[in-house]
Amino acid sequence: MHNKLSHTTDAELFGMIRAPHTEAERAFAELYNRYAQKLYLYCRKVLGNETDAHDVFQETWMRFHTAAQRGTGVENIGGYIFRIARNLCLNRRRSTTTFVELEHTMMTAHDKPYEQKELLSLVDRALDVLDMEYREAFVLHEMEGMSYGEIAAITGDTIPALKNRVWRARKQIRKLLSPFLAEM
Amino acid sequence: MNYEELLHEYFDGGLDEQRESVLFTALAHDVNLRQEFNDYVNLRSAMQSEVGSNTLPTALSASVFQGLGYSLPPALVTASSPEVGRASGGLMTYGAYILTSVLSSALTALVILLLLRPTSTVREVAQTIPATISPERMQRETSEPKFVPNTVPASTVSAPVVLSDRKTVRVVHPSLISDEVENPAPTRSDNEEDVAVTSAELRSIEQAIVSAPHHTLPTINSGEVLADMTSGSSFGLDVAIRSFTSRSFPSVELPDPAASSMIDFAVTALYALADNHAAGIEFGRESFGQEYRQTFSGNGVTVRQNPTLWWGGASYRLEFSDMALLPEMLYPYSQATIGMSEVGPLGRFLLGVRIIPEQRIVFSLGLEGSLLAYPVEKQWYSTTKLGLTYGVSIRF
Repeated sequence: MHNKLSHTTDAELFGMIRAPHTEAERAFAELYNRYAQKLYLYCRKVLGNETDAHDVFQETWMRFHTAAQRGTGVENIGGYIFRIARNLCLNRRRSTTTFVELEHTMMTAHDKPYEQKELLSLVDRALDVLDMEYREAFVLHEMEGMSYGEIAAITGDTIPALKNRVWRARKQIRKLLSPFLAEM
Repeated sequence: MNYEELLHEYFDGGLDEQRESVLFTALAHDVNLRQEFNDYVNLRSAMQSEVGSNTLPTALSASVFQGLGYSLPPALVTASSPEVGRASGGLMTYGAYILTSVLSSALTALVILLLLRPTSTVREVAQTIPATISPERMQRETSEPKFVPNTVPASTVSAPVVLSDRKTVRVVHPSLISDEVENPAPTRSDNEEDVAVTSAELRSIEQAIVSAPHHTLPTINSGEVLADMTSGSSFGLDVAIRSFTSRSFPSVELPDPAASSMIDFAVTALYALADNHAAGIEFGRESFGQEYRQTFSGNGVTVRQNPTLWWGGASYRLEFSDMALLPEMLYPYSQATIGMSEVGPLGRFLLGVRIIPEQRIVFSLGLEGSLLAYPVEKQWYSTTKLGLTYGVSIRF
């Protein structure tokens, strides 16, 4: 059953969500299957904690489903899903942001070479320090593997601006993690 | 030329062949640029590995579909079911813990068993000697010609013998054994039983019997001591160590940075108050999943954590000896503990079986539930845990 839908386009599936219950359920499940993993990673990395990520992830799909049933006109379905999530993340960040100065972030040295898992944990901490716009661009480009064009469709920013943010984000993360990267 | 810019363009995949060649030439000569290049490669490699292992919890997908009135498609469960993997992985992990704990408990018990094992028992002695001897034999073998016992019990038992300053027993003296049993075995009174003594103790009994004037031999009531000894404990003290494999509700899948190897254990010291009843103290250390709301800088935040906490309290054990599953081997029991943890009051209840292969050693296995309550900003929260517990105890 899912095999048939796997060849259906995002837009067609989006339209099918307005159909009777069974077909809508199958269409939604197929779209969920296509974007849920990436969306979950995005929420986790941008929000920096599991609870908020779960809340935003769930809310995103609820809103997406509502929009689909209302027949909202959407061209880029993937981008639309991420836009919903992005707005929710921004709201969430605004209400719970704790400001941490870069200079006040101390990452002490380690007495043994860092393994990749440890480095990932440090990257997460470094992401927490970054401004939202840098963090988001970095996550979408470096982790989700999106092109600058795809990111621009989500954030509404220009490609040069996004390139600049990813560049700055890379440099800041490298600066924060330089003691550990040197040991790798 | 700005090589750093070239470097970033390279990682963005936007370098043409000519500029790429320029960058690689610069990398060959510039140590700092090469270091920067290596750092980005390491970062990207680490991030890509995380992307590959990024797992969407099935429970989260289920709540999305449930919220929409849909059922979670089986394909999604199998395709993105980290929890299935996690569950089997968890089972493997817990399996290793359980196996290690059981093996180490068994090994420890075996060592203790070998160290404390009595070399002989009165039961064994009793099985090898006749319960009675003839008055003639008594007369023949004693140096007191006037002594003629009137009753069988009086003639076949020793004077009270003090063992290790804590026990008195009565036994049949082996030297008084006759090949001919002329009287039937005396019926033991309610408070007389066969008891376990060590070889040294048996020798002291023999010595006492030999040196005792036979005409003064009384019938000894040593029921209290016997009861004490058959309960496997002379002090009535039972010290147990056990471990548990349990799950917290709420379940929080987060490592506790403070956790060490000293987790998921409890030590209990109980004193026998009466038959089947014991009370004492218990303490232990284990992790409890917590989920509560707390305000930081004016913002309400949901805190989910999995701290490892010390706890301790008063404990009471009730043994259902009448319900022994195997005669003298498997006893159902329950145990309740009320106490405090580092964050708030705690209650525990255990239902299980005690396996008693030997008087001093007891293995236990059971189901245990606990309830932890803790206050955060004047609001009370609770964590329940349910799991399997297993351990070993020594009776003194």
